[in-house]
Amino acid sequence: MKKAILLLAFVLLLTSTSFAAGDWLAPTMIAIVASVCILALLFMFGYAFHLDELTMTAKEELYQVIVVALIAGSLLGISGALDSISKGISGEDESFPALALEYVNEDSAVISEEFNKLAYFSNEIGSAGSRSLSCTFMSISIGVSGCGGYNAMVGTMSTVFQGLGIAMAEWGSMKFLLGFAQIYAFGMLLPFGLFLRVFKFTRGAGAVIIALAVALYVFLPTSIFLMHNILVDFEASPAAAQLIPADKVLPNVGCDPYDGFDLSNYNSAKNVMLSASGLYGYYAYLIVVKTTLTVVVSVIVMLAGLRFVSSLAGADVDVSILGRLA
Amino acid sequence: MVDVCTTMIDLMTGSVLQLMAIASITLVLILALFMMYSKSISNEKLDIWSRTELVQLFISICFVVLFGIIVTSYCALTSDSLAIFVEGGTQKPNLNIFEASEAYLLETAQYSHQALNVNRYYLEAFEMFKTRNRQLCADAMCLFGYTGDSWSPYAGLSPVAGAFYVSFNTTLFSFLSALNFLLILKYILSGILLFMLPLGTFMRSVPFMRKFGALLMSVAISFIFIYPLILSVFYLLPKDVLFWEVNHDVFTEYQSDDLIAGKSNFDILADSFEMGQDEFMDVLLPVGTHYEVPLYLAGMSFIASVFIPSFALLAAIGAVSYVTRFLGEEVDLSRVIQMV
Repeated sequence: MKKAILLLAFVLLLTSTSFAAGDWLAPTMIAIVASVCILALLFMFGYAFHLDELTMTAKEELYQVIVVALIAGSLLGISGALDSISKGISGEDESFPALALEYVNEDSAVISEEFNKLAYFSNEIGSAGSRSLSCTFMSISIGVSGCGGYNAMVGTMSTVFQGLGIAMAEWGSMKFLLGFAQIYAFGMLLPFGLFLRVFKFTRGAGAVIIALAVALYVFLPTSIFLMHNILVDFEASPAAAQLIPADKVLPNVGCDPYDGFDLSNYNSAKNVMLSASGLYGYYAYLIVVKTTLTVVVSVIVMLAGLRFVSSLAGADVDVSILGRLA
Repeated sequence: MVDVCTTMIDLMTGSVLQLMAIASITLVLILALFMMYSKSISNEKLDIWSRTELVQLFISICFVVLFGIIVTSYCALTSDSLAIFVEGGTQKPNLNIFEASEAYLLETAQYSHQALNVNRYYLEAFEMFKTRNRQLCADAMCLFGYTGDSWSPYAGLSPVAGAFYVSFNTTLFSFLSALNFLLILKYILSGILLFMLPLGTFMRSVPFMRKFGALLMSVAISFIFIYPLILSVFYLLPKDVLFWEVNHDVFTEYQSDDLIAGKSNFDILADSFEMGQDEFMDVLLPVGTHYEVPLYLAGMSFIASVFIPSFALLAAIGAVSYVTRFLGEEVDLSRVIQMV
């Protein structure tokens, strides 16, 4: 019964193969056919010289080729299903990692925009904060830093900029990984892994490479896709209203150093600071949740997927070693 | 670029082959002596040990022969033959696996260096701008000493520079990492590790030294084949992924601009004394400057120069354990991994 269910599940997966337009199928078929030919030769050699062990090994390895074909079929189904999901969402004929890359571009563009806006604002703050008035008469001078109140914001701004800088570097890394996944995962790694998995000596390496391809093509984009949608839903929810202000406009900065002797400059600096501080929570959300959490969760899911698929494919990977890369 | 294949094949067919022959003949002689001695004293244990070691010697020689076959295959297999699997992979020059691995690391080192330059450019510009000061005299009061208003119009770039310090450090680390991995690769491709083969062959048949001999052979096999193989796979990465359009613009802009080309920012600073404040700003950081680009470059250079080469090195170290298993002994990698 269990075998029948398993077979049925496999057949169901294969129904979506018609959607899979991946170029990886041809090299995979070459790998399987080449492996069968090599095993047939080994079997003939064993049969001709009455080497029972060799014929037995060839038979066992043929079973592994069937397993590889099953893995290839399953992945064909999965990739076809994911690509059709991607096509359904974007309306264009693009792969699943390409869709995830679009989401990454969309999310990173938000941070870029905020960074550029904040850079302009910072320049205004710095310029205003540095304004001072001085008067010299007969070697006697007096200086008043009438707009110095604005400098109180510099420390916070530095921290925000450092966080945004790291966030953008993280998105840059993710863009690279997805670009790589889009081109390499099923294009080169998967056929290469399937080919290596057929042979006894290279089975472990093959399983790891298959797992890496699946982790990059399936798990990484899926986690980005899910995180993006979770956060989009969160941003639209009433709970986010306090964190994400509807109006994300930074206040205008103005200061006249000649007014340094009364409280008008102090008040205007205080108002600008209070007005801008409403956005700091939003920046923290962009840095910590929208970027770092998304990237960390995606990498962890990818590594967990790598371990899961590699153990399914016949090799157990020590994720703690790979974790050093994360 | 030095022809790696010529070096490898020359070493394999020259001094390494001679050393292999010496090691094998010496071992055969030693084992033959032990076999004769075991026969003379009718010691079956010694006889079985000698025969086992002979089989082990045969296995070692098979591994070395296989090693030679793989080296020639690596030299024959070129990137063009693999490029059909990678969309846009045919943009690169046709190189063999060893050359492609070196080309990848050179390319990433160059990329990180360019990213470093772009970040440095911004930091230098920020440093210059944030220290500039303006003073405005209040009417005729300056006749009796300075009286007026002073301010630093670009002092606000100081917090912005915080983000660029982070990305500058990241790209610097990436650049050094790329050079570090390139040095490891150059060391491997120099063929030094080939000398581990004859030594490993000999050690595998010496009592209590099989583990060490197997380790020597597997280190040579893994580092000469796995490390360059994985790097060469990434060589085919189309330029669009690393050098997407905006990156091209950035690198081209900072290298070909008439005013900037061939000058450091300090030279430009000297020119700036002849310029007005805003004119100077328009030259270095014009309106519409994308501050985010250098920051993205830092992330991308980190993946290209740190993540991928580390992955290749980890794979090579993992392969050491994998190969030693076939050579008869398993190696505990937990301590070796600490190096990465």
